[in-house]
Amino acid sequence: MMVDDAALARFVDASPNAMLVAARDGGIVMCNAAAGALFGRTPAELSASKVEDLMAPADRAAHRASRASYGTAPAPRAMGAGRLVRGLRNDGSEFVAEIGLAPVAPDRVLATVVDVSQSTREGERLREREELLQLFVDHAPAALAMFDREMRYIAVSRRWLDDYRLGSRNIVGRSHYEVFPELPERLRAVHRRCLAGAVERQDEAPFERADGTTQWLRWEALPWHTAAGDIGGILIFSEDITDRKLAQLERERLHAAVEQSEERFRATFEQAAVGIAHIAVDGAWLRVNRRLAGMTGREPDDLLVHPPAEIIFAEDAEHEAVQRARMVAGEIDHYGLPLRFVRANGDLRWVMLTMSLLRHADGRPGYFIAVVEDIDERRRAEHATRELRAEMDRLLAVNVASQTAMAVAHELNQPLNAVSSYAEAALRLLRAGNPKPDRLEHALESAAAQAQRAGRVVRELLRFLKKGVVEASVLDLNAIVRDSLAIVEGGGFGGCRTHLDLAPELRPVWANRAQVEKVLANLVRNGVESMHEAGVQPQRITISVTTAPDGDMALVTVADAGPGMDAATAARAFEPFFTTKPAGIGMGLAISRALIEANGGRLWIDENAKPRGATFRFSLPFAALDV
Amino acid sequence: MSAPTVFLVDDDAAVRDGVSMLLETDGLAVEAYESAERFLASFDKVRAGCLVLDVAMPGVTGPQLQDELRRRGSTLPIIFLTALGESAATVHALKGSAHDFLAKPADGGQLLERVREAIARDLAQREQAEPLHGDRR
Repeated sequence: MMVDDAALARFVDASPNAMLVAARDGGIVMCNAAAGALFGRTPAELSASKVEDLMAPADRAAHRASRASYGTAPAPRAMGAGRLVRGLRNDGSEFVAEIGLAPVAPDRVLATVVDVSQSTREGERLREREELLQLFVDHAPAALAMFDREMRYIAVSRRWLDDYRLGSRNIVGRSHYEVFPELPERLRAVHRRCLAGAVERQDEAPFERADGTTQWLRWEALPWHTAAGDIGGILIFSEDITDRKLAQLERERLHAAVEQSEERFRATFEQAAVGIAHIAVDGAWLRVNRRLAGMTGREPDDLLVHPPAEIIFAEDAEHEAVQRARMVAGEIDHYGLPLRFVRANGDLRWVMLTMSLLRHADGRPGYFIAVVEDIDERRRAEHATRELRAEMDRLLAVNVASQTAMAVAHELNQPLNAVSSYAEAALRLLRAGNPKPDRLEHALESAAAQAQRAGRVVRELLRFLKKGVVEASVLDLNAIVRDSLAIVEGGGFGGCRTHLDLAPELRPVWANRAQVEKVLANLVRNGVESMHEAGVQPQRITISVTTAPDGDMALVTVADAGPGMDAATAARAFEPFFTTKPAGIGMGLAISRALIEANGGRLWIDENAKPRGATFRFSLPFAALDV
Repeated sequence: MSAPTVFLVDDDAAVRDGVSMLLETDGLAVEAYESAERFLASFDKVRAGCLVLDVAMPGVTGPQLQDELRRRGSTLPIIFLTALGESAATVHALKGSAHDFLAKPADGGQLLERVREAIARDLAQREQAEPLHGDRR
């Protein structure tokens, strides 16, 4: 807008605001009354001044420079957009002036000057207050944040940023829900209620963070009001109590664990099926359970006043003390002893005491832990069993002696009976005048032979009684089996067929002939009897001679076609006096086994041999090759 | 009826031979068997005499043979010979029976005496039971 000076003068004069028109050199060419009043000068004084004269000296240089640059590109500058300068009154006082500029003609600039000292001071006070507030908020030891109605951050404390691990992000102006997308609905509801006027707080609240961690918070939320009394938004104070809460939870957990372990210990102690006690190093009870007290015939409280030294029977105490001392010395870490307790009524009770020592961390003895088992009944039962066994052994010894005597009597009486018969016959022949000399000769020869047989029985018995002293020789096992069978067949096994399966190439064995024969006779006799008992027809016995699979021994197998033995019978077959036969004494197999073992072999029942019948096997060692 | 026979059953060959010889020397007819089975196989209850029987034998024992003979209705007198190796129960049962009982080694004279008594007893009871046969003796 370009105007002539007259029109400009009229406009300036009519303006209620202080106005000046300056030339490019800063000289004032027009002014109005308001301007004179503002600067405390007459219009004439003003007109004689340059604009720099109306400013505080400190601002003048800057203004000259800016006026020079403005002159090259003049443009309107509205009030409020310009820089403030300090105006200088005639009396030397200063005020804050805001200046609006308008280039109104070539070389002419209209300046509107407003004293903004008043508003500037309020603004500064406000700014100062805002700065103080920000300072306060920033440095508040609490996390706090101020939100508008849209829950956008207006202010936030450093502690808030720290507590919520937001770093140095500038979140002012951003939505709370954008900053914390994980914020649960219940907290959003709190915000809504506070925006509606509620004040809410929670002393302990978990906050599940997006990164999976849980923060524990104490918080308070309340609305703030504008000057007009409306709710402008909310304030949230919060305190991160995570560490405190975790410590508390840990304390609670530990406490619960301790309680549980104490409970368990108490239960273990009290309900144990064995007696338990803690014993001080000086030998006093520290704690006893009911079971232990029961073993001493007392109530727990009563037992506590009778120290272990009174309870352990004097005869057993010394040994126990020795062991305890060794444990304290570290030589052993525990010991177990059977000993006797003296009960309240004076009776003795056998217990098994197991003691261990609990030491302090520094190795000093703490207290003893005693576990006590009541073994009285077991001990008595063992004692009774021992007595019974001794009694049985005694009976058995008597029985063995009498049975052996009977067996020997039988073996001796057979030849003696023959001798007696032959002798009586010979006597009668002689008395009759010896009508048949050959008969007499036979009788006497036979009597002599049977006397020798009786002698062999006695010698054999003596050898057997000497045990292990076996007169052995190199023998052809095939021949022994053949001969034995001939003897057995001559001995009345009517109706029994025998089958021999010999091994002509078998190496000779080293054994006592009579004993092996005796065993063979026993086994065959057994087979015949069992087949007879069971009514098996035809009766058949197979005897085979082989080399044992391992090649070291000769093997003889005697198998019958009888009913065989069940497992129980087989298991006991070799026991002395075990028999299933009505007429047997049960020594045959026991003696047979003893005889074979005396010859270095083994005798057993082959339970796997099938399809039927009992199968006995015995082994005998081969004679050394250089014999 | 043939002459009374002494039936001898014993599994011991020497005993059979010795006892047979003794009895034969005294003029008795003897039949010796090595087992009860063999004896039973040829047993005929009409034959008179007596049985000299070993108690302990493999297979059928003396007492079992006794039972079998009773079952077959035989009243043949029996003289048991025991070798003292028998169990107390067996000996007790034998002693309680009506039959005779001699322990080995049996005295020859005593054995002969018992055998003659037994034969006489057998003949007497056969006379009683079957008087018609009496004159055939």
